[in-house]
Amino acid sequence: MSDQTNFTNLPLDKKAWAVYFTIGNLPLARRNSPGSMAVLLLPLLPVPPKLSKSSKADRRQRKINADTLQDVFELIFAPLPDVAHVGIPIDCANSKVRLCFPILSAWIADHMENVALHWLKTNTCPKCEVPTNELGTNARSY
Amino acid sequence: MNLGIGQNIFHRLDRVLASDLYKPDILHTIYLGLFKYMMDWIEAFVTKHGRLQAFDEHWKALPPYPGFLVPKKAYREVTQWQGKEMRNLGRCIQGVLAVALRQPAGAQAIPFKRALRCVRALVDFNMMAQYRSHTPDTIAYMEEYLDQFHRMKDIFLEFRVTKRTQAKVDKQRNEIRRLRALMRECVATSQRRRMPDDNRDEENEMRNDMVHGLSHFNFIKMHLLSHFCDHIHRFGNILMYSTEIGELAHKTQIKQGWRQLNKNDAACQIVHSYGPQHAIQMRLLNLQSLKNCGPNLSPDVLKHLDRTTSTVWPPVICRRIWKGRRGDVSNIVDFSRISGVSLEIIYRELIRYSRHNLPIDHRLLEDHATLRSLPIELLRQLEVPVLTFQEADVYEIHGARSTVTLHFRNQGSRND
Repeated sequence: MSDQTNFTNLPLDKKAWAVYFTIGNLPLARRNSPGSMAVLLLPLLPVPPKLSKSSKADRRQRKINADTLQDVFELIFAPLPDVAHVGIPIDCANSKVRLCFPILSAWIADHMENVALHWLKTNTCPKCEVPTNELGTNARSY
Repeated sequence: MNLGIGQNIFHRLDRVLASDLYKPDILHTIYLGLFKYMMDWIEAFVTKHGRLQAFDEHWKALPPYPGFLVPKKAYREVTQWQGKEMRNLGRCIQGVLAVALRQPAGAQAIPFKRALRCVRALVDFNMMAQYRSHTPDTIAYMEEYLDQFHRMKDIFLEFRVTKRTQAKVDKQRNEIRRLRALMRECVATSQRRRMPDDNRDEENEMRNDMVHGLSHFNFIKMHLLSHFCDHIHRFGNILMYSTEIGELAHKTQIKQGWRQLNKNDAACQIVHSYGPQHAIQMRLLNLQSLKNCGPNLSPDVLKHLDRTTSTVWPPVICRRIWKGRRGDVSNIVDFSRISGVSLEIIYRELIRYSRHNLPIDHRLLEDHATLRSLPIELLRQLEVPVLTFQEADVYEIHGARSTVTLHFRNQGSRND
């Protein structure tokens, strides 16, 4: 799950881009209650400065930003592929040790985050290949 | 088609399908997305049909109800809407609109009916999406509401006019008026009186045609709704994937940290400072749940409690490394071996230095055997280990160097 936020009590446009993680087998009510400590901050991603739309230098900068983001995520996900197949023993709260298979199964984010992470165009769906001029219709065949 | 495969970070993970990572999101898609658009349309709609006054009055006159916040201002007086307020709005908009559109005049009956049905379908869809458990029936209902919304939404199409469309419409109208003005000069005075009415009708008709031809509902949030039903079918209810917990987590995990810290290298500090707090809170929660179990706790749980969850090493004490002589260097041969500079070069440089820089009576003898016997000292740089911020056993080595006769950062002497 990732989300961008502003630091409110600051005149500058300081931003933080947080990635949280949580586990999938928590019950809904437990995870959504604020005191449950169910979500944990993992890293803060680098926030690139705002760019204008057209200039050529900015386009290069944009590419660099995307590459940086990709490298950061590679770093974050580095332990995952090894343990996804063989599992990893993890301490459980009731004194037992369980063999767990951590797999990334959902990414909760608003649309603009999805666009940034999946490297999409702004007006495309992150899930299917619907053409832009059919976004408003109720087409479900894609 | 839309995905650049090499670029997507999720494609490299095992057992992960990037397109399945997307989860529908009620907060951004419905509350802050479609409801917001819909309110714009409704506002334009009631203005067009002269019911704005009634709409505002009924909006303010809503009675209180448990779990429902009574809006204090009329709809148009609120400048910014939060997700929570939008949820509130979803509960009452249908009723307010129905009352505001009461007793339609003859020609208004059909548009009013269609608008109400459109709003109702969307509100119903939203309500159903919040169910915590679903049956095939409820999913079928949701699909039906969505279909209905898509069938009825055309009533609001004329309020989806973008600036570009508006500019085109204006341009065409001016063009027609110009042509007509030209024509009127050729027509007799008696016929002129009838023309303006025809003009206005024709203009309106053309405007409608253009607006309907050029405006569209093709924006992404409209489309994302269509994945809701399928998602429920495969992964369960939608509230489970709410983005709202992220917003809550910002408050405790980032913003509090940010307020307490000194803003130096803030990202690192925030990430480090929250970990211990989280651990303590988890511990408290564990103890709380054990307390609820009462006296029938098994002994190994108690034993487990005494054990610390992670092994803590005693902090490594790192002594300061001062500037000092290295023991293994005593003459030029040793120095050449350690530094990797050949003897010839050292001799040459030494002789050059002595010729250029030293007074005559202090010059070195230019003879390799004498030079070789000169005593050499190799000194270490002053290295000061400094604890990394908020870590017990990680040191950063800060190298110090002599600034010779210069003051610190070219400033005056310091008395500290």
